[in-house]
Amino acid sequence: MRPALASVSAEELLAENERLYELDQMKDELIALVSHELRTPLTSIVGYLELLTGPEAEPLTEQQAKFLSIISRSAERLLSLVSDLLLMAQVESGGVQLNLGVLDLAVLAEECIAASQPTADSRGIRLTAHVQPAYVQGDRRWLAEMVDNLLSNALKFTSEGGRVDVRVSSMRNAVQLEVSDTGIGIAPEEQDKLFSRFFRTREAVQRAVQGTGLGLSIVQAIVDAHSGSIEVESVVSSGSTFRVTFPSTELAA
Amino acid sequence: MPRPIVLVADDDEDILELVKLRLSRSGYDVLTAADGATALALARTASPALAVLDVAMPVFDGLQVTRALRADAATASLPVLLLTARAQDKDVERGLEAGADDYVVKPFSPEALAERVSSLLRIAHEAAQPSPGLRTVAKP
Repeated sequence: MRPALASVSAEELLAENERLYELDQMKDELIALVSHELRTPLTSIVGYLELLTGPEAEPLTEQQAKFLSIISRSAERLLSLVSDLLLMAQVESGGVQLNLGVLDLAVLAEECIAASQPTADSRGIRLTAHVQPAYVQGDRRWLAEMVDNLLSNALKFTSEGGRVDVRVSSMRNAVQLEVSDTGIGIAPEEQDKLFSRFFRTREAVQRAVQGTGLGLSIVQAIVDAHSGSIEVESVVSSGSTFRVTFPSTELAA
Repeated sequence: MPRPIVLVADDDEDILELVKLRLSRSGYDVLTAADGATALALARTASPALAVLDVAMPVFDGLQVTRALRADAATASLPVLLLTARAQDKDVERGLEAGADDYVVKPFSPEALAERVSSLLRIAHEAAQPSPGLRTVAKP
């Protein structure tokens, strides 16, 4: 035993452990509270913006419309940050509570792709699905959150003219979902930090790509809750692939 | 035909005004309350056609008001739409268990809220009509 530890009694260690646990709980409660408190002023911001810019609003000058669209974009960013924090707090405090059912990952992936298609189109990225039926025991809402997060990252870090491909395949005992992009890639030394909370790659920060650094840690928690695993393969300047593997299930299960 | 009265309760003045503005535009007479006790009193005296209640309010919260409305024969069938800043499943579940008909998560689009209000009023209106379909069914 190292000398520094020799003088610490078992009771002291237990007390310290307890204290750290309480601090952790407090932090989660704080995040949840702050997120809720942020939602109220955001309600006024987005609500009154809608009244100002909606179909029955007074005509606006070009400059007013431009300024309001900046306010609106910022409010959207703030809202997505609040949602991520709240989701993270939920994941950290109670864990991911699953509402399990048998579902086809291919169908789910296609739904998520359809929702992301307008973003891909507006950014000139070809978003394609290559799927075959793949049944898993899972929670539809959490798994959709997972796919949405992976898709949103892939689209965020890929430039115009690039591709994002989603593959869902079924093997003997497992099903796999892969999201590949032809984006900026992730440096090898940063790949194992990717799933830590608030971690952002140097490239992401330098290029001022918006994000909270929470998405992949939320993805990791969802994957863990489904007894799955996630891995990443990436080459700087040529692209990244995120591969999630889950145990497969019988359709009749 | 008189304009339907909609009761709106929220302890945030700006949100109260926002909902009032939008619903007035849709042709409702909007009554406002800043706490649950006032909301409950207004629901009993002003015969609103629908109540929009914030979940987190002083005195009585939105869930308590909903339960009190359901427990009183005079207001038991009043449609209730909850506004909630808590988006987790269990919060929504608690709201529906208390007897709310629908809920909207903050921040919401005023437009979408107005649509929910109008659809709840339509459902309530249809439920209040004697169903012609049922009357034609012959007894065995």
